[in-house]
Amino acid sequence: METKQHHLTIPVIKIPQGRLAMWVLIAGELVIFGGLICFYLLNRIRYPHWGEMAAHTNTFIGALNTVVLLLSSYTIVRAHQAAIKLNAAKARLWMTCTLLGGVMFLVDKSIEYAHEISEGFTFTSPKLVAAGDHVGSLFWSYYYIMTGLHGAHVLAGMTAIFIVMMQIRKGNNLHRVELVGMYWHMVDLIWIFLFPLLYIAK
Amino acid sequence: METAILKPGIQARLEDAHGPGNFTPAHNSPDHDNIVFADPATDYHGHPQYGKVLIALLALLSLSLLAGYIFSPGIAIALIFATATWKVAMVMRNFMHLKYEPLFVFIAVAAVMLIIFAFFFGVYPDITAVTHDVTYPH
Repeated sequence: METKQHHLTIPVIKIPQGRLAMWVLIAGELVIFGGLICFYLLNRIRYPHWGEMAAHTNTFIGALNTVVLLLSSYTIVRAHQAAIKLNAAKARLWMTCTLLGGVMFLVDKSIEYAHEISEGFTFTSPKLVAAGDHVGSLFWSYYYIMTGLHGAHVLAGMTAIFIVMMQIRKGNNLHRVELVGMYWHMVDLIWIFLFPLLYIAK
Repeated sequence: METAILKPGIQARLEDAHGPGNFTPAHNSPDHDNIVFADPATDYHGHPQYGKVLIALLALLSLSLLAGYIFSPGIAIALIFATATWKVAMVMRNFMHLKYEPLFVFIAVAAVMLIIFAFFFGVYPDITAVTHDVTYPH
């Protein structure tokens, strides 16, 4: 009889291994983005001119992306709720909604990037540099690093959600729905802080 | 005794083979893939009202968007970041189920936040107190 195996739950700290690992990953990611956000804030205080640069970001698209990510956080947690009830089909449906949210976010971001690049606001913004505005150029470098890194995390989260969707088709490994959900919520958390910094505080 | 939740039918099959009892299939067992969730007796998990949390999050977002039009710049900035912090807390506590996790998980996350705060104030004088233009090479 196999009653002594506790390979899923660590008895001492009483948390499933997968969830503990996700919290460790999330803590590491928060350090990365926290550092980036700190430097953005410090330079924003140092250079008030950054407020003028931030005025060129599209608040409507930023707000739309925030709504999309909040809704997708809701759908992935509903997927987790369905997974707990062993309803793999419903979990996959909610996860599909989450993926659609991710696609919409990336499409919005692409439209936004295209518009800003067409105005000359690129990673190095050579037009600003040529005009002697090195401070403005530095803002756009930060902007593309922060939003680009966040976008890469969105893409990675979508990939992980898709993989788990394929894995739970036969009702196996339903606990992984919660784990990818936690990663997706982390992506949402980061955007909740990026949005006011880059789009509202102008 | 700790047990895992097994897929429907698996418990009955194992009881037929081994007699009544609770089963947690080993990692190298063919029934390992039939485990759905870890032991519910030790797996802390409540479920808040996700719909209400979503509505609250959207309301806070609306408030932060309107803040700039209603309040003075200083108050608007403070309100915007306060609502952002509140939204982050709501997502972590409810969607990520942090309020149901053991205390050490909360402490670990709080420690990360404290590290970031310490980093911010530690580097603050180096960035803001420099008088010359650091963006242009001399």
